[in-house]
Amino acid sequence: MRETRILMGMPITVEIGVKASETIIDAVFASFEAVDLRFSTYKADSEIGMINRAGLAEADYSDEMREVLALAEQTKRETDGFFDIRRPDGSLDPSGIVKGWAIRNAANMVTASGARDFFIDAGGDIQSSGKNPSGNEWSVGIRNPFHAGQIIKVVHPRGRGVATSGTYVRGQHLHNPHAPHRPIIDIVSLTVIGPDVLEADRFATGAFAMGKAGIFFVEQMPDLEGYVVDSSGIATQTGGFGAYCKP
Amino acid sequence: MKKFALSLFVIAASGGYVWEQSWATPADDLLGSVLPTGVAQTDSTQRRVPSEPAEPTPLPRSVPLLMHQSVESRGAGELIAGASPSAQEPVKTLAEPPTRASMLADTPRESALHAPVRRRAALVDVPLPRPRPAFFYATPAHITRVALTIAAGANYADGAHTGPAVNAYYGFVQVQAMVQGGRLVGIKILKYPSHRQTSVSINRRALPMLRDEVISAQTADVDIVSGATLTSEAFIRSLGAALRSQTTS
Repeated sequence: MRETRILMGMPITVEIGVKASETIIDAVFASFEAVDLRFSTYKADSEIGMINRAGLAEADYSDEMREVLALAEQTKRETDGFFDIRRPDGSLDPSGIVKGWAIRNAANMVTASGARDFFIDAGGDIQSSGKNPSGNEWSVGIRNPFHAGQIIKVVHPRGRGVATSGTYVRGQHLHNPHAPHRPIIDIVSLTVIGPDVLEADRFATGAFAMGKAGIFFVEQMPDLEGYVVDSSGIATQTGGFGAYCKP
Repeated sequence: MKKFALSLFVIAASGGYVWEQSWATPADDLLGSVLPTGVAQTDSTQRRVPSEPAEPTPLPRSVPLLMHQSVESRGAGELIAGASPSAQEPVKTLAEPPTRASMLADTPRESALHAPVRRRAALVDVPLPRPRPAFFYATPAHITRVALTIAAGANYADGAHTGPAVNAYYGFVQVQAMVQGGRLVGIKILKYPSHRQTSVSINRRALPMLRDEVISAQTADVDIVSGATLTSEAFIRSLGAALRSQTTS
């Protein structure tokens, strides 16, 4: 059973294979709504909004906020500062990690409910499990950055997480913290396959900020594979990426 | 036995890979002429095996430490061939992004990188590498190919097998073999010899495992699509277009 709703400003699709899963699908969407209420930088009264207005003492942060901020700090260390939730204007914007974190939590909830075959897709970041309705591995197409309707690569993540960072839809919303006013124009799309969607998301965001160097960072991380498309339409894949292209 | 053979392969592949790289001349384009590599220009899967070896400047068998100092401080982009213990630092697990010099503002850390290296002037003889024998240059690609053939023939457990980090004189090399269906399907280079500031073009030469291709449209028959975050507006527009195309067919 598949359902799509627009939450957190993006389409979120949940498909669960086993029957009688309406309650769990509702629970998944409810969890995304709760994440939106807490982490949306577009809502003035969200927890992150209040933090950014200096209206919340650190002692009053929720457990979820602490967890996400700690993950952001860890990712910043691991990417040499190229992942940084602090915007140039000083405010915090954890959207580069919240999406993957929210999907991972929702996926854990679905697994705990007993479902084995499902996927959750929030704005192009995907966590899948088990098999599709035809009994085959879930297939994930990477969108062509230059042509919205086209797929340029098909991967079978086999339960691993997939996340794509790119500037071709929302423009220059990603920045290099080491040179915040220099737009990233050498690459347009970077897809990362990682142990789960949270790992894929946080490193896709961090590696994208590195520009053309990002794919070498992904190559040297033992658990990550990547596929980057540069601004002239040339794609580079890491050493182990090809293994995921086989059905 | 199989595990031993796989370890042997990984070590052999690491060694073969490093021997191949030993004659690679470092680029001095620190800031990186990051021209997009057209497919015609670079085929990363092919290794360039020169007919004539790129001879390093003939050096005496050993030189006083003072001489070695100037080599060290010449700066980034060079594969430092040093036998002194401090020159042989293991490479960091994370690759430092190339063009880091252009990305970073002048931090104290960065200026330290360019500061001349100061050492106690001890007149200790430090052995430097001798020029490699002629046959050496003919075999590197061959070694790698042999190692891959060995691995391709045997049966290994599916998954990623990480080899040890092998000290390859110029730095450390670590290879990860990806096995699927009992066959070798990919190789990842986790560590490779590199100086602190490595430009993109050095990376491309040092990591030939990264394949380039021109993007092209594939089948659209997939379960899920991954792309940069669609705005809800864009999603509605594309959904609308998809529905319209359905009704007209």
